[in-house]
Amino acid sequence: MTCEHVQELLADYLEGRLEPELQPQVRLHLTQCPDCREELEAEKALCQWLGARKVIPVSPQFSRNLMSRLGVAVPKPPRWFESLLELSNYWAPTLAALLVVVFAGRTLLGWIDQIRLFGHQAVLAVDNLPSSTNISHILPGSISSSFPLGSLLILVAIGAVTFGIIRLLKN
Amino acid sequence: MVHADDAALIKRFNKGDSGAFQDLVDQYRDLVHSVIRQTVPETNQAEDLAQEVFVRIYRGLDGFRGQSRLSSWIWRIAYRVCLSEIERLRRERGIVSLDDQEFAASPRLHPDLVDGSDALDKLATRDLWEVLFRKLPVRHRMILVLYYFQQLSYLEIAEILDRPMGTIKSDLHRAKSALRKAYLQIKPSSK
Repeated sequence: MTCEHVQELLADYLEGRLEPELQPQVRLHLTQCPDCREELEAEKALCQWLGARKVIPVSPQFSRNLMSRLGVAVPKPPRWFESLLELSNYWAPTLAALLVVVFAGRTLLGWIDQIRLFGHQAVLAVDNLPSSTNISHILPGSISSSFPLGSLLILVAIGAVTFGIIRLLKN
Repeated sequence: MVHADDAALIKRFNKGDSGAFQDLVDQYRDLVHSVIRQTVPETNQAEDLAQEVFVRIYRGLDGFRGQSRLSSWIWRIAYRVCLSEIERLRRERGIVSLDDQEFAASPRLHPDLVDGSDALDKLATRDLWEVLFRKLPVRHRMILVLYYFQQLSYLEIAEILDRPMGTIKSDLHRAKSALRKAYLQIKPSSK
């Protein structure tokens, strides 16, 4: 076996991938040839150096710079928020639909009651007052106070529905 | 065949999920940076070049059809970016890297670096390997980095560099042989 041939096989010899019939021939050559032994030591040192190379992290602003170069929105939501978004695919539309039905119904019924009450009170008040009295100050305040709450709840429900629909469309 | 993780990520990206690209960047940025840093002559450019790799990935990801693994595609882009950088350095500043064909014909490192000069003789062993390594042609450096640092197979490297597997094996052998010989020539004390 020539030195050139042995040196070609050094890596496989070190990694134990040499064909079984070649192994004793290489080993014998190495015991007799100082040059090839030296090559073997150099191969070991080289593989050790190559294998010991470490990951070199990028600077902390790498992603930000990259995304701004690409014109892509940088902020990445935290993982808990992502999980919440995933879950929202299922619960948001359902919850939103329930909210719409419950609050819209409740508000509608509330308004009807208020109007009926207002009509009833107005009739009683007008009957008991002198004809010259201004009746605007005795109008029930509950109509105006209950309206914003109901509207707010409906808006929340509509928002939830929209959010759910957007999420579904995105997926 | 597309790897399942790759397919999921590409699907997310194509649906406009910007988090998909961010995930890809998070997964590969340090690796791409490390490989580039080990491959190009001027390490201070490595981060800019890594950015260039991701810009090309971003622009090409929607056209990625999965003929290879996503990682192989990324390494191929990184390799091309390294080649472009070496060409730029050659054109603009006359910095010459050992030519592939020249090395293939005679797999030896430049004599000006392996004459056993005092400066090299005083280098620590690991720095000496570094100096010698950087004198290899870029493709051979890339092969060594992908094989030892990324621990890719010959087949994967062949796919990335678009060369037959046998060529990759013999290039790896040549590169290591040239490094060993240069090392032994500079370090006569080890005899």
